[in-house]
Amino acid sequence: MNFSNNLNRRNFLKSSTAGALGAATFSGNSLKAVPSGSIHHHAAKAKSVIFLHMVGAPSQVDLFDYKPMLKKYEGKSLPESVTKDQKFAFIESSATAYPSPWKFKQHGEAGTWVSDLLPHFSKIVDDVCVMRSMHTDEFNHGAGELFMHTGFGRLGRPSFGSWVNYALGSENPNLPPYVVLSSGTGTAAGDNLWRTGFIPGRFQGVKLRSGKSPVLYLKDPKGMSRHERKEMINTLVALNQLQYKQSLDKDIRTRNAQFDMAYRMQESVPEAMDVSKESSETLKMYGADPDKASFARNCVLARRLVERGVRYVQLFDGDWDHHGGIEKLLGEKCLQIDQPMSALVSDLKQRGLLDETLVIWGGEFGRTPMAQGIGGRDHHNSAFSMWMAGGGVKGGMTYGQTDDFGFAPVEDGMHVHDLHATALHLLGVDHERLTYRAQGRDYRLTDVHGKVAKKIIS
Amino acid sequence: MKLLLTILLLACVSIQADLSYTKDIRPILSDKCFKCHGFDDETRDADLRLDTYAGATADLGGYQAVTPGNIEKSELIKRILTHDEDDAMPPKGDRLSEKEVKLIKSWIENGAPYEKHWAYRTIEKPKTPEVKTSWARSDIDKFIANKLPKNLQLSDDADPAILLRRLSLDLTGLPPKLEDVLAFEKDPSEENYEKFIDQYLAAKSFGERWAVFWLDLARYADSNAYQHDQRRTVWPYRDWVIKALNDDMTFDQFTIEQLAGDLLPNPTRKQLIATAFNRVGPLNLSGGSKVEETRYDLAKDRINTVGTVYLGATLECAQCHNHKFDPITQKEYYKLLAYFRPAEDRTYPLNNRGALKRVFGGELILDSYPIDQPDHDKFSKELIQLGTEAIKAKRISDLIHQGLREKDPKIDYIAKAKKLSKVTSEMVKETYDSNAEHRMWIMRDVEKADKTHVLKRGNYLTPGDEVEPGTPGVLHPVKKSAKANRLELANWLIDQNNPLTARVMVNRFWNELFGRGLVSTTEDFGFQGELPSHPQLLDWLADDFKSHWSIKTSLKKIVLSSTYRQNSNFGKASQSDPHNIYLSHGPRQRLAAEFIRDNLLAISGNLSSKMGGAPVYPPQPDGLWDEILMNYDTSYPTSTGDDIYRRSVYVIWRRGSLFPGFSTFDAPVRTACVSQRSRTNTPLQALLTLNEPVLIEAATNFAKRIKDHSGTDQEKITWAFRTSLSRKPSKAELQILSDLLASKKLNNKGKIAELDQSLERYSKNEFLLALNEDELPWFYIAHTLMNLDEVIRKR
Repeated sequence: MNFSNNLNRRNFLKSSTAGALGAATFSGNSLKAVPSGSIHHHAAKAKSVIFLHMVGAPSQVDLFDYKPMLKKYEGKSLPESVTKDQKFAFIESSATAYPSPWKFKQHGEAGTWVSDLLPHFSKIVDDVCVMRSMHTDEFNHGAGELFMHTGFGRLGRPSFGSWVNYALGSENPNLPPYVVLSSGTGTAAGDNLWRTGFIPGRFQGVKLRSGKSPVLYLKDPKGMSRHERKEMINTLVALNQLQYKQSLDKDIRTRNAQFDMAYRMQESVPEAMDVSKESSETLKMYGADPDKASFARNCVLARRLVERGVRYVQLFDGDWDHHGGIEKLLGEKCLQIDQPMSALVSDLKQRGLLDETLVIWGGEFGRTPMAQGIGGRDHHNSAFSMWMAGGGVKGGMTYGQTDDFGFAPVEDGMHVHDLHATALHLLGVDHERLTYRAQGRDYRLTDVHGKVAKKIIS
Repeated sequence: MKLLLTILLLACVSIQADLSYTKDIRPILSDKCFKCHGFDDETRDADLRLDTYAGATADLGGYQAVTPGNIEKSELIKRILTHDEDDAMPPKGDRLSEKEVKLIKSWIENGAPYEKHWAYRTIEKPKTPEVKTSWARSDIDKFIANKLPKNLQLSDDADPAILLRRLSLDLTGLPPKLEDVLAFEKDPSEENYEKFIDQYLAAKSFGERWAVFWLDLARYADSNAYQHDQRRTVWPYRDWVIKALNDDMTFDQFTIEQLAGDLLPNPTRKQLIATAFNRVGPLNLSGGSKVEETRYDLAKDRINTVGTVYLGATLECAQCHNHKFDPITQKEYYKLLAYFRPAEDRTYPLNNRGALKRVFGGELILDSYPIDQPDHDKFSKELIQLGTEAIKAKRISDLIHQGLREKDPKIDYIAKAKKLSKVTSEMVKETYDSNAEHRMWIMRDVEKADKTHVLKRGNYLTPGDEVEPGTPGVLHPVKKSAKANRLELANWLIDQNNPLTARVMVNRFWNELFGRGLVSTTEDFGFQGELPSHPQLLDWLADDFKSHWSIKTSLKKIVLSSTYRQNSNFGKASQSDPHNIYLSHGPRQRLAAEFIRDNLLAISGNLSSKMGGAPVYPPQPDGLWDEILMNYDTSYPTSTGDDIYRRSVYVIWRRGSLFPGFSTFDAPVRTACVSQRSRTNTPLQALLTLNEPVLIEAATNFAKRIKDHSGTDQEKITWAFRTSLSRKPSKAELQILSDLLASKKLNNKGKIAELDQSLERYSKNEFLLALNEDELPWFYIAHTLMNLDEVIRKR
């Protein structure tokens, strides 16, 4: 293209108008895939991921991992054979058993155990695989979060989402392929959870904010019209193009493309983030108020984003760190998430998107079956529960077993590395072959570990 | 296929003439053999090691893996050729290719010579090659010209305006003054060029620019990282770095003062401040972290930093096991770590949940703190009182509400509230003390240090053998002093016999100026790092640097070279040498985040020249601190007045939420030593330079200056263009900008208004309030120029 005369600049102006308008009116299914990464090692079951991270670590003892034995030990220490060699954040290993104050029942055709805290979730269990044998290396929040998202308990490694983005690329040129949304208080490890470590920065998650400007600096200065913005960008692109012709520096072309993308995102991001476009039935189903930032609203956004071809949507929901007051606080938290997370699965299913969307739910670790003080539970990394739905995961399944106290896995243990390996597998990526060379060695998300949990794949 | 094979074989024959262990053999052995027959004695099989001559030629009971000069008697050859599954090597994975077998054979025939890894060899001044080209001005150029492939051509000097801008950006991080550009265009002589080099090296802004380079390595930040990410006072260290660089403190002194200034006899305050180098890393104060674990983590962070900064080594691999690739054992790692073991890093929990911890270590009361002692006590008392009340009120009101709601007779809410008030007053006091703005952390050793142990799998709960401080055996010996302390370590690092420090540092200078090091892996000079593209030049520069240890002298030598002065158009190299490894053209890279901002502020005329002091907080979008952090210290204290326009090196560096102008342009969080930044190219960057309010404001200021500049519209555009880019605009560029101006002038008369009516949410004429109708069109000129690719790029 030659931008050196006016006529051609006008043509460019026209084509980017079309892009912008196109972006404003597309619907999810009409999009053509434009993959930029395309590292597929085998046929993929899932196309995109929604990861619901309950920050602070929800209590599996009170939600999924039913242990009547704790009742028998109430007020007594757990047998030493169970607790020896275990590090705790605050309590001693002699802390006494704390049976769940909530009732458990079996639900669905599969008879999945779920406590009374999650009545909505109880109705979708046949679409869900509950993994009760999760375990991780870390037992502090910052390190645990990092481990969950980067496979490593210290800073500096690429996040799961950036690996996926790097491997598979984008499906929608108008939106960032890796989006992060947050509700409640933030995470301990901050944006390190969606950064790229040594992988190029363009694969990092884009944190969309919950307020009026979901992307920083998305809005033009007050008083500048879209036309004026376009004219300015076109002038800019034309001038940059002259420089490219002289220097042959390809970065200049990329930057021109990014100005074009920026211009399109100014339209597409507000559109994708406009929850008020949802029907009142849908909003009711999620329990979401379109004007109020919440986990429920973020669940609606997650669906809107994967529908529009976003590859990886990361949700964080804060305030799950119940060292005390669990009987009140856990109930409150479950009220906030039970309906929307269940609605998300149902909504994806009714739109035919669940098959290609892998939904993952969980915390960075679990909580102790023993009490911390009165009515609290400490951090617990040797066993916790997560669940997955869609994207090629078997529904109506419970995977893995813990011992009688829920202290450690005794069957089908699933380490966070195994979770990563399995999720990548569902996306058509072999975790042993997805590598990036840095600092003199090939790095993997799963380091030198990770087994695909074949039993849970449909 | 046959033809291809023939070519390959021919290639082999030609390689055999100057077969190199480092280049040809070691990569094969490393890839296929070292995993089981390498340096690490814990994973070694069959007691055979192939990474040393002695190991490879050892008697294995009547036979040898390698018999120099004799292929027939070399078991290694049999094993790599056999098809017998039990004997074949390597047992798993790909066998050696035909070419690789050939190479190994001819290496053994030639006596199987081993070589010490290039980076561990003593630095010797290489002879400068003779080259027949008038292009070369200096020794540096002769090395470059000598290695240039035949299909590439060296480039001429860049235009004076472009060259001066490059020089100014490189040495000061700011664009040159337009009058300097004009003067240099008039007289682009050698003398005048050198005069400008000296001028920029002497400018205060030199330290501000090169501090960014050093602070990345030193992992400097104004907060702790991890949970809460508490802010802390360490900025006097940042100012120390700027001053030391401006004073051209020699690099050996620079190293000693930072690593061990406190251990010098009668250390000055400045030398104590310098030691914060050891304490600016991340610090985990979260609830569950254990004291001993934290202490080991801090020591690891310190030695890992030293490893990367000085040795170009990724020591951290040796935390858990013997290094797989580099010859540093786990034991040697902990011997290095032992130098940091006496550091005073005690912590103690503050309340029963341990939610807040105080870290003890060396602290320094700052002179510059504006409140003198008696007042300060009063101030701190008041603050504690206020804070306590605020927290109490919040907690107690929560309790009252809870009590009213639950009405649980079993719970004594009043007693709870009383207890709470006591805990919180302690909490506030300690929080205040540890975050107090008037103290900064420095390094201090305790009298009697704890023992250092090798930690099995890096875990502090499983200590192994005890070790004493010491340095790795593969490098030059340490000169033992009376006390094996950090000063001994610092002296070892800058020892004239250290093969690494000087090489690693001059390579970083090169990387800063050219965008790529002579060793492209600036952080790794070990076996897994890249080999140097110009090993002799690297050694020439390293030998020179350690003879004077003056950073300014080394930089001056490089920027005086023809290599540096070349124009930066890619030309033929865009195809055959896209990374410019052979330096057939001048450097060309996007500026680092800080200099993008500084540069734009300087162009607009808004940049403040004030130096030093506590961090500044330029405006950023509301709520960024709320969103990221665990509800701790979330209010961003936006600066006012000139502080908004201070140089970026003074902007708050909070690890949990970097200033968006920095993170968007790839500034690292600095949780560990950063040797090289990435340079991405994203739409979020475009949005930032398009819409960031401070930059918009800067553009409005620039617009007024352009409008007020004397002359015709063309002359005004030319002046604005040259203020932004130094060089003259081309005819085409002038035309494009003139068209924009004409269009904006029309626009202003309302002709475009109807086009905009459909886009109501961008309400018109609210922005640029400071601009009148005559100034507004110039805003678009200013704004466009400030978004040009070339303006954020050094070329």
